[in-house]
Amino acid sequence: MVLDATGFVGLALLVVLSVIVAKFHMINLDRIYKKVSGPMEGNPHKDDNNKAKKDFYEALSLPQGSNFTIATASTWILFSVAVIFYFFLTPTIFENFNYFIIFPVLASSQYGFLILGFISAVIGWVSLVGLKLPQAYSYYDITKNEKLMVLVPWVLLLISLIISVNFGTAYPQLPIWDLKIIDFAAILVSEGILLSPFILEFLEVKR
Amino acid sequence: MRRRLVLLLVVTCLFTIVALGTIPVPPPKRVTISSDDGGIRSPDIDNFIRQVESWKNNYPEKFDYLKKLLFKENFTTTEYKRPGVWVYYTDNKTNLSRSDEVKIAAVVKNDNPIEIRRVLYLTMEAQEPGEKIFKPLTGTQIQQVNEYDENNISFPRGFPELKSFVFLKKMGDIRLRIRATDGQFDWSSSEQKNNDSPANGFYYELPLKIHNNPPEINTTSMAVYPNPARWDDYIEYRAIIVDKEQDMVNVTLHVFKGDKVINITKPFPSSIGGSQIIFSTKDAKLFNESDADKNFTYRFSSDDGINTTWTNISQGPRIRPNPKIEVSDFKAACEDDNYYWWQNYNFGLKAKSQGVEPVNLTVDLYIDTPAHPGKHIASQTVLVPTNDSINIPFKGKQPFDVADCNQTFGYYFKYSAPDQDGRSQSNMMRSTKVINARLVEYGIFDPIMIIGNLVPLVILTILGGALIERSILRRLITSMKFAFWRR
Repeated sequence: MVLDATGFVGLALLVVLSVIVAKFHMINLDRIYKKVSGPMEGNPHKDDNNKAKKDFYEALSLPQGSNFTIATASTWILFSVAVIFYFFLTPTIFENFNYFIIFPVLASSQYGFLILGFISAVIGWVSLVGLKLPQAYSYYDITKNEKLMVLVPWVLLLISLIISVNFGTAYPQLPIWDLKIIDFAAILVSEGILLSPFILEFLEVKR
Repeated sequence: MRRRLVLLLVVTCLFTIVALGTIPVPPPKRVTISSDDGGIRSPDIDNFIRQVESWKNNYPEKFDYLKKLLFKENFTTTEYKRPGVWVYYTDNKTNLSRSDEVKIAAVVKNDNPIEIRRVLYLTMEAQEPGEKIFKPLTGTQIQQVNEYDENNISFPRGFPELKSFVFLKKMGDIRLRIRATDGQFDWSSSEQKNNDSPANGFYYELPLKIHNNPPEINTTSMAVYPNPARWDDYIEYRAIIVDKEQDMVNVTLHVFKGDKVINITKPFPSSIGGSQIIFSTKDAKLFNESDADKNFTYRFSSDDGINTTWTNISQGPRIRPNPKIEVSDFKAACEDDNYYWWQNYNFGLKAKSQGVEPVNLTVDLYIDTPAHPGKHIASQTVLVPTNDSINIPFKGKQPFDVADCNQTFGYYFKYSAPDQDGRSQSNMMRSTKVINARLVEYGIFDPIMIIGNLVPLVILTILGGALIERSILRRLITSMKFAFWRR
């Protein structure tokens, strides 16, 4: 299998960013828990640390508002669709391992891209629920402006999606404008913005 | 008077001799020979004796050899003994094929002194399979009196004519012997049977078993070309014949036509590696118009004069039916120059009846690509007139799919009536154009792509988000209630 170096590095970059921010999130929660755990010394559940933490996190959760939750969740789903479209519809990334090579009939069908998008969205949805990612936002104090920022990645991911689809429609040739870099940059920036509450909190607590 | 004159002369001579007395005879002059070193040597007996004595002392080994060289046996007898003759054959192989190379010679043991030896005339004789008597097999070889070794045995004397037994016409046991004559006696090696052979490889009579390798025609090498063919086509029957004996073989082609068999026989030179034999309709008239639309079979037989072998019966040729239509102008083209797989393609041909009546013709269109070999596309039935060719179009067909991208394609037609070549199918025609490599029919701005794919996808993500929000909300409310209850 021939791997496009940029694509492979790009995939690694997205994963590494996710892992780092997940670690930030864990650190953030631990710090808050340690600060608050002092007054809870007389708690009969003190010995059972895990249960205490769980109870603490549940108590810590605050609703961020329906609009924000829907926006973040749908943006994350769009993110997973954009990532899969980027890596599997752009012929120069995984030259011998892409949608057109594996499922040429499906890929060239009238609703071939919708089918791939649906599968990608399901993968995204299951991942979100599994990782409890939208719920993680409820532990943070997010301002209204920050909440509005979620719309930016939604737009960026839509642009990424259109660029990837354009690559796919021209397969196996390349479209007139090879916007692969912009496509990837949109995905990366979107991921950064979506994860920004965790990063900002980490930096703020550190200060 | 005369007597007196003669007497006078005699008396005169006698007186002369008496008067002269004894005439001194001079000693023989000494002959001198110049040697190479410039000196003069006297070849008298003393010198020679001295020389020989010197050799004896200085070179005893060479002196012994010189003695042996100059020794002459005593001539003890004058009684001539008939020499012994044998067939000489050192190979252990006694079961031979006709073409196997053989080296068979004659040897003689002649104990007579060289002075009384005689020249011998040797001939090889053979008792061929089924025969009772020996007959000469070769020409005569001459054994000279001095051609014996120190044991009085001759060197093997070969017969150049005898290199193999390919000349034999009957197979089986053969016996060989040597006949010898010295001018006085005439005898064969068989007559010495009571004597012992002096060495291995010496035979009074050499028994051999000779077999024939019959010619063979491998069934897999048999072919009829062309097949199918028209009854008046030039048709060839081909095969490869192999014969280890490399005989001239009479090969016969047997063409089976119902109860009748047509035989054509031709001589062919065979070879070990195989030679191609070809019979054709030029050799004999094999088919006529009434044979149209029939299948025939054939086989070969080959005869090398000893054995006859037969091949299996093979199919062929199929004689095509007599033509009823004439077809021409096969066409195939995409509706534009892009040649995308999803586009419409137009195919067509022209046809007319060759008979006196119109023909109700059914034409089937097939395409051929690596992904879809021999795929049936469409069929239509038309009434083909006798006067003019009519177009039989197949328009707006979509014969390809995505698997045909970036491939060339072929197409052909099948007809319900035989064409001018007696065939019910056209040749495979190949397009010079390649089906475009592009896979996806719809561009980014195509309504199908926007409305059918992108918009539903975006809606799908929003719905997915809403679904998650509902579940989170429910969970949050539940957890808040739980926290309130715990307080």
